[in-house]
Amino acid sequence: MRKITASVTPPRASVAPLRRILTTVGIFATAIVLATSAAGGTYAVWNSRTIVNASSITSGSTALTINDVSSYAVPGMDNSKLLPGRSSVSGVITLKNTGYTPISITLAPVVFSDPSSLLAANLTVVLRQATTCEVTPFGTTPSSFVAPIVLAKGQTATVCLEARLGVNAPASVQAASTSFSVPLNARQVR
Amino acid sequence: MNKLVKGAVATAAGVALLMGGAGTFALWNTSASVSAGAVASGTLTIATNGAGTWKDISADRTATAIPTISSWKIVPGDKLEFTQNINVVATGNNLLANLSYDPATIVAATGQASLDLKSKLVVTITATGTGVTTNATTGVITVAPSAATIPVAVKVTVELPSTVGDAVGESSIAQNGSVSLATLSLKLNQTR
Repeated sequence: MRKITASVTPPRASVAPLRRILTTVGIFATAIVLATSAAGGTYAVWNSRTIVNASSITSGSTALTINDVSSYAVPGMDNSKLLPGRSSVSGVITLKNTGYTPISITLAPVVFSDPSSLLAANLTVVLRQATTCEVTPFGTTPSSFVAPIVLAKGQTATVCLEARLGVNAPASVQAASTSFSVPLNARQVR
Repeated sequence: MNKLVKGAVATAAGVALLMGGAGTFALWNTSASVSAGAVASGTLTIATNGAGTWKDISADRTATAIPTISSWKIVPGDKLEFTQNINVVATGNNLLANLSYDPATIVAATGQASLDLKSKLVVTITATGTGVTTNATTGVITVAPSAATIPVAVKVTVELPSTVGDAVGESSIAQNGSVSLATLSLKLNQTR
């Protein structure tokens, strides 16, 4: 006996074409967004530019030298004369404005290497403006310059460094030693 | 007639009707030309007119020309002015453009001092000319269109404020630095 059999399979709901359509739409949308954003900010308005040669600008400096160096070690102070009420004085020290602006020079507090020592406590260090350096007479208290020293560009001024041992310095400071520095501040003025 | 015959007749009649109109569509038509003139585009260009000049315009100084800016040493409190004449062509009925400079074309030389100098310099731009206006609040310079070339005087001021060096640790900042304006770019950007 023969038998004929057949089967029919209905087509499945077609999903693939819909996916392709959506993919295509997505690609176009992305391309449009990219194309628009590539021109972002300008939207093709006109612009023009020209180059001008304005050369260059260089800044100056503020500079002060002490006997032609930025930090000067004072030599040759005769410490044998540093007795109670007496002074030891340096030679003439030249301050020079080597910058591009006028400067105003002021004195900062003296800095001792051992500020708590008895010698430092009994020592008075001054820097005064003078053309020749003489010891301040006994009985007269030496003093530093008060008004700022104003130097124009290239101008110089001379000063003297004097260290005086207090008149009431105790005997225990005999043969003691200390080192100190005298900072100078130079500030630009117009 | 059976249905088959009726259908054949109707189809033949329809085809005949379609063929009757084919090829001619002989409806009347006519045309006329109008003179709509021509549409011309506008122009927006900027060009230098001669070399620029420098001047010291510091507040505490009498304004003085600086013959050689490369020899000048700028210090805090200085305000310098660079004047450059330019020609602007801005045509277009609805055209508006902004005039400005490109900060990126101010270039510091090598070294920290130069970088510091560039960061401390205050650069501004002003311009005068027919149809050139400056917004008092924003400083934006607008150029209006004109049929003729617009001569514009551009002034670029470069200031190192007197406060430079006041900050702790900056007492010597920007000293001996150098900043180049050799390729300073002035630009016109259409805004409308």
